Amino acid sequence: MDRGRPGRDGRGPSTAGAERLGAPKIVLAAGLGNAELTPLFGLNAPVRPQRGQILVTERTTRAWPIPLGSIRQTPEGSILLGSSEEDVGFDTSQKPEIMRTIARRAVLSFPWLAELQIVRAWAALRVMPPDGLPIYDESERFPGAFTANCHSGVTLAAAHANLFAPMVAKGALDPMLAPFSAKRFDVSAAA
Amino acid sequence: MFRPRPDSPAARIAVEVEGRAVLVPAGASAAAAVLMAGLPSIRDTPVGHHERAPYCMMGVCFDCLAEIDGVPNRQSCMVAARPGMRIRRQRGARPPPFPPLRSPGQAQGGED
Repeated sequence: MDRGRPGRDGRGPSTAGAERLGAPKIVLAAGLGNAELTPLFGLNAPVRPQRGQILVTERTTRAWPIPLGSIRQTPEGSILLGSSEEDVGFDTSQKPEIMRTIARRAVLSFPWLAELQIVRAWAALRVMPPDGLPIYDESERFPGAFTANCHSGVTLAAAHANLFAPMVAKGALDPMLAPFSAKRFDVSAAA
Repeated sequence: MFRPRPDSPAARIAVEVEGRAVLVPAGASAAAAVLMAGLPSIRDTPVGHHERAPYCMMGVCFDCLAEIDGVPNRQSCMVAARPGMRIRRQRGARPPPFPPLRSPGQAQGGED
């Protein structure tokens, strides 16, 4: 789908091509694309790109009995070094100076990390709402249209699968998600 | 299973692969030495403990990981064989290279 639009009967999107698809429900979960997509469905998701860079070491056996903030080990043994935050639009390139800072901070915390090989490194864009908290909403104009936005689909995957998805299946978001509506960004209406 | 190409230079570099003496030509990789040693595998994967042997020979697949001269997790296909090199099996993930623990009585103020 190049660009969704609610159908004339309000029950489903059409596509930019000739083919039209109908669905009683739709969840807009297009990441950064939601900023442009949600207004077409009477929703609002003012997400912006925030670049993060990450370095990954060779695997070791369990190094820490607890998870740490910006130094984390996967169950399989890779150690992920990261947590940079840059406001650079949609640029996903890696920068040696940022990578160097990430590595230096990690080695300051745990000097033995310097002996490990870095096997992968990359940059990617977080889907960042203005206050950093997720945005969950349902459209009043087009019932059946929902949206989900957050900067860590991994951290919140359990909430999306076990809380959000059943609400969508039922047809309405539970009031427990009301604090996460984008209405919070309309200060005068929210006051 | 593997033989040197007929046009390869004479095998003159002696290395040790899991205790076996192997001769490889100059310029050969440590992974080539593993293959010439005739081993069915050189590492066990950290999670599933499956046996792996050198495969891509170009630094991509990580199936040739080995302990080389005491350094674990080396990509043996990316390391040139040197005389006297010792290539050992990589058994799962390496331990973290923690510094040796010092007893409180030995603790010093300075950093080493």
